Formats: sequence, structure tokens, C-alpha cells
Amino acid sequence: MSLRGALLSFRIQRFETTIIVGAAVLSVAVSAVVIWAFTSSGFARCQVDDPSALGSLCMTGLYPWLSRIARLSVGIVPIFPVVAGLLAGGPIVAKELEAGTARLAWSLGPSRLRWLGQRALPILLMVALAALAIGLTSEALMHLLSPSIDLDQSFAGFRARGLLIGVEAVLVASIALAFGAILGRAIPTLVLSLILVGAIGIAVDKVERELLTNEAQISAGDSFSWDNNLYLDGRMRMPDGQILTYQEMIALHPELDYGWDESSGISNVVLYIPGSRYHEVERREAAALLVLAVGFGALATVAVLRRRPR
Amino acid sequence: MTAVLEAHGFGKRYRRRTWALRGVELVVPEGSITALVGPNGSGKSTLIRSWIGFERATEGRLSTGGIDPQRDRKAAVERVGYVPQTPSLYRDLSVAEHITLAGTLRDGFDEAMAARYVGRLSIPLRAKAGELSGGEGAQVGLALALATRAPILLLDEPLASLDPLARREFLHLMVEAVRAAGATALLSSHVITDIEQACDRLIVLGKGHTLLDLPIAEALAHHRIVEGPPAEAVRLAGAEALIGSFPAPAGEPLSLVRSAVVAPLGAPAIGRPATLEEIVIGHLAAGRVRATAAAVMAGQAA
Repeated sequence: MSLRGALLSFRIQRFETTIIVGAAVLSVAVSAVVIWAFTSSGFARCQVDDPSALGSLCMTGLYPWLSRIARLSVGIVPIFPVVAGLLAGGPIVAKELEAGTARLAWSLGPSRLRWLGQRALPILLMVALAALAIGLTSEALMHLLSPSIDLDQSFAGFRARGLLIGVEAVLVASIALAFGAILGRAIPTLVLSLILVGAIGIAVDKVERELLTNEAQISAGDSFSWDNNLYLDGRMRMPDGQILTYQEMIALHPELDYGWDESSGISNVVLYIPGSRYHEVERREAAALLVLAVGFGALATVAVLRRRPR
Repeated sequence: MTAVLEAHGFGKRYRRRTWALRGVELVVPEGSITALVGPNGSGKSTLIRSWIGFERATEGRLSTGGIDPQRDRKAAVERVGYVPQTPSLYRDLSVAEHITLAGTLRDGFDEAMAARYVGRLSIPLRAKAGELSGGEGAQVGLALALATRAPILLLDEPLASLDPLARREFLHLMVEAVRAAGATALLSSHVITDIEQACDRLIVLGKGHTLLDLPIAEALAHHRIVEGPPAEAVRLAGAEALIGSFPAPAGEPLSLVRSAVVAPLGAPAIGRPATLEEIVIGHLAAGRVRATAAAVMAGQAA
């Protein structure tokens, strides 16, 4: 893949490139301004101390606005990989087939693999970098909003910050790339990709929760700390030490369906992953999503090699 | 004669029902500029797209410069420069960027040659493809195909959307480049007058079959026109000589006959020499009659 080829790929998808890169640059710029304003004006103290005790500093018009912008920026981060991935990946092959330009490219270039690499890799790299920039910006904003939390040791904002945002964007783009190569139509590609992205999101969450449940630690329900740990599920601890789901408990002791008193020795417990395992869990999920992305990339390649241009 | 494009028993069926082509037997000799003529739906585009590996044969086999495009599409594409019916350029890319793109996709693509051809046609290199006329787009497509320096040029009705002057410029550039490179070209077209000047061989496709495959000079020498209904042509030339009848623009119908049968051993020829257009129309009319008869017989058998 040459630099000239990569630049032409961006030119061909100028609209999508402008929107994605523009959104990333805007987000990073706004976040940088917010972070600078927070630190230079001493607003950071409002996040840790009692704002009312700090008087006018935290009550001025600027602080609530900056705080709101920061929270909004963090809030919309999980949407970015989906929107950017669909926008970037969908048109790569679908639009070329729809417009008939694939016919020109495939007759000029004997290797469709080379064409796909030249066309798709720069776009996937661009969307990954843009999403990663937004993920890291989100992390910086979260640190600003919650300075007492050590984000390296916390599940706060899990899947809404850092590395995972970049990987999610690549996966969504790969799914849209594959659908585009199979369907050859831009709009159906976007609709079906969105549906599949939703389904994969639910499936990944389910599988990961099952996996993590096997590795979970147990805490008494009333002493569980929500700040840094990843809550997985609630369970019942029986007097003999057995940990059961509510359904399992009722199946074993149907009389408990009508309630039990404190003297019964039954207590609520929480299954959780401690915040110290955040980076390990994040990296494992990123690796799984990358494997899926490679799979969809392979599917797109097979479709491009086999299909006939319009 | 070395064949560079071949079809043997080639058939293509879409969606398990409609045969676009069936039993096609033809050979395009090396160094020729061959016209592929036929009505809409006769399978010209399907055949051309099959030679470049864009379609898969349902039956029979093809050869593109000695390569089976189904087995080795990459090698087949390497031997071909292709100009489709619609130019299908990237609307937002300039002409110069199209040339750069082609250079990144194909080893040995001659970017200087492409720029030279485009310049000769007075098309600005900085112009965006979306701003070009249909004719200019086709000419850019031709320049790109020629600059591949491929030994075979496949042109799928590139003249369809061009005005007469643009058609001439297109054909002039194509013929000059093909002759200079010693390449082989296959040009499918509806415009018979242009073909007569540019091509040296004629293939007529109709109803999915090859109806005629001859050098143009031979085709002109071996066909004559009898002005009058088919019965008149049969009376004068015999039933075996009659190829097909078709309406004249005005007056009596015209009948196309084989002159070799009509005038053996220097006997005086009947009728008048046929034009290339009349030869094509006569064979297409005959093909239609044969197809109708075959359909009727198939219906009776069923």
C-alpha cells in the first residue's frame, strides 16, 4: 500500500473522512479547552471539595457550564465508535459497487486484494485513531470530573474511555465493510450493520459477564463499594456458605419464596471484579473485539474476491 | 492465425432461467480490431465481461490471451484494458488523480502515456470527473485502458453516449494506439458506420448465438441485396442463398443473399452490393426468424 494510494482513498471518501476527523479534532479541542480552563481557573478544586464552601469560585457562570460540557462530552463517547465505524466502513466497497467505480478499479488493478488493502486499511486506521483520540480525551475528562478515582484501578466509565473506544470503532467499521461487500448497497449496509452491531454488543456483554462471573470476587451486599469495582450480579449466601442465585435458592427451599428473617443466616452478596483488574479486562475485551474485526475483514475479502461488479 | 480471445460452447445463464448466451463459438485473431454487433440483450456485454473475469460461465470455456479467466482472473485482467459502457469514474477525483490511482493499482501502468492521451483530447487534467461530459468521461476511460499497455483492449459500447465528433475522436485515438502497440481490440457497438471505418472484422451476435464471424472485407464481398420480398430473392438466387429479409426505410422490403451462391464462376451478379449495416440487419433478421422457429418447435414438442 503506497502513500499515494492511501491519500486517494481518503479523497474518495472525503465526506466521511471530513466528518470523522472533524468530530475527533473538535472533541479533542473542546476537551483541551475545558481541561485548561478547569486547571488554570482552579475549578478542579470544586470537584473534590465542597463547592459551596469554596464560595463564588464554584458558583460563577463558567464552572457549571464547563462541568456540563465535560459531562456531555463523556456521555456521547460510546456513540462515536458506532457512528464513525458505520460511516467509514459502510461505503468502502458498497458505494464503489453502487456507483460502478469498482468495475473501473477492478479492471485496472488485477489484484482485488491489493485494491481492498489500499482502499480499506487507511480508512480503518483513520477511524481507529480518531476513536482512540476520543477515548483518551474521554479518560482525561473523567479524571477531571472525578479526580479522586484512580482510573487505572477502576471500572468507572468502562467501555466509554480509552483503548476500547478505538477497537470498537474498528470492529463496527469491519462489520460495515463486510456487509457492504456482500450487499453492494450503501443504505441497506448501514441498516443491517447497525442491527448486527447491536446484536454483537449484547452477545459480547453476555459472554464477558459469564466469563467474569467465573472469576468474580464476592462481597457482602451492604459493604460493596460501587466506585471502582465492576458489579456483575447479586447472589444469596446460605447459612452453610453456599452461594446461590435467588432462583436456585427458591428451587432448593420453596418456603423462602414467602420471605425469611435475619436470624435465618441468609444474606445478600455481590459478585464483582475489583478495579485493580481494569486494564487486564479491558485488554482482553479489546483482543476479542479485534479478533472479531479480523474475521469480518476476512469475510469482506472473500466477498470482494468472489463478487461480480455491476 | 493466433487467437487472443476465444469462446467455445460458451453459455451464460442468469438466475437459473434466462440464457444470455448459449453455444457461442468465436475466435478473435491477434492484431485485429473486431466489431461485436448485436441488438440489446444479445449478450455482448456479458461476453466481454466474461473475458475479463467479471462473469462466470454456466457452460463452455473462454480464453483471454491464452488464459482461462475463470481459473485465473488476475492473469486475465493483466492482459486486458477494459472500457465499459458507462465511464464510471470517481466523481470527486480529478482526471490526474484517476491516472495516479491507476498507477497505484497496476504495475507497469504508463501514467505519462495516459496524461498524454488525455491532453491530446483537450481534457484538463485538473477537471473533476463529475464535471466531464459523457464523451470526455469515455475518453478518459479509453486513455486509462490504453495506458495499461495491455495486449488486449475490450470496449463495451463506449460510443453509445457520444456525439458524432466525440465518436470520431474516440475511434481515431483507439485505432492509432492499437495499431501502434500491435494490440488486439474488440469493440461492441450499435453504430455500424463508425465500425466500418475502424474495424477489420465483424462478429454479429443475436439471441445469444453467433450469427456471423468474418473479416469485414470478406463480409462485404460475399453479401448482396435484392430489393423485393423474400420470394423474389428466392426466385433469383435460390432458397439456400437467402439469409434474411427486412423492411427498407421506404418502399419494397430488402433481402440479404450470399453472393458466393448467387454468382458462381463469374456469372452476372444479381441485386446490388450490401452495405455493412444491411449485412448486420439481414443476419439479425435471420437470427430472429430462427429463434422464433426454434421457440415454436420447442413449444410443440412440449
